[in-house]
This record gives sequence, C-alpha cells and structure tokens, in this order.
Amino acid sequence: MRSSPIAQTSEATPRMNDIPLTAAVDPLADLFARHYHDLVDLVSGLLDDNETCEEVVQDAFAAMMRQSQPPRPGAEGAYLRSAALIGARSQLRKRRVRRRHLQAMPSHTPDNTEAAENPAIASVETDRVLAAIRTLPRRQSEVLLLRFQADLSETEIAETLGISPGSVKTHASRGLVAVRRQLEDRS
Amino acid sequence: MNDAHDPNTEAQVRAALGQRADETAVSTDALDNIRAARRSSPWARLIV
Repeated sequence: MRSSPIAQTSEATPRMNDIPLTAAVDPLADLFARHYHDLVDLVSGLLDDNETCEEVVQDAFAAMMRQSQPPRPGAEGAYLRSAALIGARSQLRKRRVRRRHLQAMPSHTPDNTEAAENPAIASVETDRVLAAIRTLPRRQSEVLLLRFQADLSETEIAETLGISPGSVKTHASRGLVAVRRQLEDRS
Repeated sequence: MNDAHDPNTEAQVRAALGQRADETAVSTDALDNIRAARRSSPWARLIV
C-alpha cells in the first residue's frame, strides 16, 4: 500500500480514463473508477503531496472493505469521502507532532524540514488560500472542500459529514469569512 | 461574525482548490494496492 511509485507530473502518469477497468464485472473497479481520482483531488486541498493523498484514499477504500458490512448501495461515495477526510486529518496531526518533536531537537534545521514536507506550489495566491483552508477548524475546512472541491450539494455534504444541512451552511459561511480574514491579514 | 455572502472569497477558494486538483495524479497500481488490502475483508472477497 505504501510503496506505489508516484510520478511528479500529471504528464507522466495516466489520468483515470487511461486506466483499463472492467467495471461491468468488477464492483470494486466500478467504485474505484467513480470515486478514486475525485477523492485524491478532495484530500489534496488538505495535504500537499500526491503520494500521501493516494495513501489516504487507498486506506479509505481498505477501511470500507474491512467493515463487517458494506455501505448501503449508493452510500459508498459518502463513506469514502468521510474516511478520506478523516485520514487526511490524521496525517496532518502526525505531521504537527513530528514537527514539534523535530523543533525540540537542538540540531533541528527548520527550513530543511519544511521544504521537504511542503514542495513549492507554483501560485503564491493558491498557496495562501490553501494555507488558510488548512488552518480552519475541522468542519469548516471539510465543508469548503466538499462544496468547492467536490462540488457536492448541501444535502450531500450533510450526508457525508453526518451533520444537518443548516450546519453545512453555517460552517461554509464561517469558513469563507475566516479565509477572507486570513488573506486580508497576510496581504 | 460577519457571515455575509462573499463571492470573491468563494471564487478564490474554488480557484485554489481547482488548481491544486489539477496538479494531482494517480498511480497506475492504485487499484492493485486496494485489491491487495481486500484479503482481510469479510465481504469484499465476495465481490472482488
């Protein structure tokens, strides 16, 4: 699961449509074809390297298959999105812990560590917005990702996160306000 | 908290997430990796 070689550019790796599938006779391949790349895109809003994004999404599929019963038909996407977001959050927590430990070491060189974990993003503006999203409270960032990255409806977001549609609106509104304030503060 | 609709920030968020998504790629063996994980699954063996 952890050793898949990940190319660094999209030109070097096939997109979903290039991967041969036998979805008609293979339910897992069907789920994979319908959700995998969208899920990688989704968690890419929280995580900054493709390899970790893929690991998180593959773990979400594996977690789904470890359930004693599969999700009800039609609910697989919501399950996978929820599991992938939880996995992405877990990765962020691990990174924070690792950074705290490294910073506590006398020989730690912060610049090298940061550079290794945060490859430069071409657009400074994109970088600033993503950084702002990643600092939001969990629900706010998840709602923004599901709304503006995955293009889900409020109802679908509510189902994915197990909250009410009203809460989705509240988290989205507060998240956008928080992003705007962070951008204003840093400009 | 001011929660007035903010189309400009909304557009910035959408653009940033879209650009990040454009940079993502998937590995050719991703499905194989997931299949390998199915072996411990009680129900996935039935469908995979």
